[in-house]
Amino acid sequence: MNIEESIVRALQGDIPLEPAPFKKIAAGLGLPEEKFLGAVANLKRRGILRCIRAIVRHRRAGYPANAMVAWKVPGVRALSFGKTAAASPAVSHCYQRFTRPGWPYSLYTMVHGRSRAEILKVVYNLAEETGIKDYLVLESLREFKKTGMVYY
Amino acid sequence: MTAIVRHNRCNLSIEKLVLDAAQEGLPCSSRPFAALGAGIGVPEAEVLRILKAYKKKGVIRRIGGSFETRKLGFSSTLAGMRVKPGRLAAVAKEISKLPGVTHCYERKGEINLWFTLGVRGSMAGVNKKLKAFGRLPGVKKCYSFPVKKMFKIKTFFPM
Repeated sequence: MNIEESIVRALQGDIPLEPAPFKKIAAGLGLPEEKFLGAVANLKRRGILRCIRAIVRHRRAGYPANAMVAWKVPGVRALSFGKTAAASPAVSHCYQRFTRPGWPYSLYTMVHGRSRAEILKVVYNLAEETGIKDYLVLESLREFKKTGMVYY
Repeated sequence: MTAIVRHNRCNLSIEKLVLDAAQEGLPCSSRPFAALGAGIGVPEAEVLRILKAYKKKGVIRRIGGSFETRKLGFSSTLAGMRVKPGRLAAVAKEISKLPGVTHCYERKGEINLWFTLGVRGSMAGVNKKLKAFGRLPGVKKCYSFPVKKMFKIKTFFPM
């Protein structure tokens, strides 16, 4: 196993909550800490590692409401719509995706909020601001799975 | 004036400041929690105590790396299915068994089951898996909506 693979393996889970967590991880991999940190910085520079951070369960952090909204946006307006949606702090994810016959929705936003009303207001404002009035609020009814990706 | 306001905010909820900062990202340095604390005026030991408490309460799911899946050689898609209501839970459970499925939700609407699917290698591998899922009993339609352009990924929940 190469160093980068073992680093991804170590960081895809939890880092230990202690003063020098990377020293401990590095020791487990038989590496000096500086070498480990150097390789991490390299992964970051290349955009493979976005960041190391705390990932919260939004329901328990006071944001119980969420909805995926699918928007029917003409191709020429996708870029401006995407930028406007991305600027909203309530929008965590925004993607343009391929459409399919029978499914013309091309822009997807994940909207989070403290209540359903708060979310619907964000969606309404986004529709007003962009002029895109054809959209579906796909509220989740049941969660079957939500985990992080395991790469190796 | 700014300093006073900020100081008051700290007093009100050091916990929340720490969690906000930890969501923004930890520095990849030898003492990341000390560095994080230095930015908001909280000692290392206090940062660790607060993060441990949030972890224990289940507010923090994990503290670790966030990777660009594509750059690690994975292909992925968002899939949407129309499943017979009586078969939905069984289909969802079957699909969720695959480690490459990280999110799977029943949602309101004509397409009632949505999940993300990522596999190592090219899109052909994703499509092959989807084709197999599409043959599960009760599945009436199976769409794949891969990303054309990413505009934002930033999950940040200010406390």
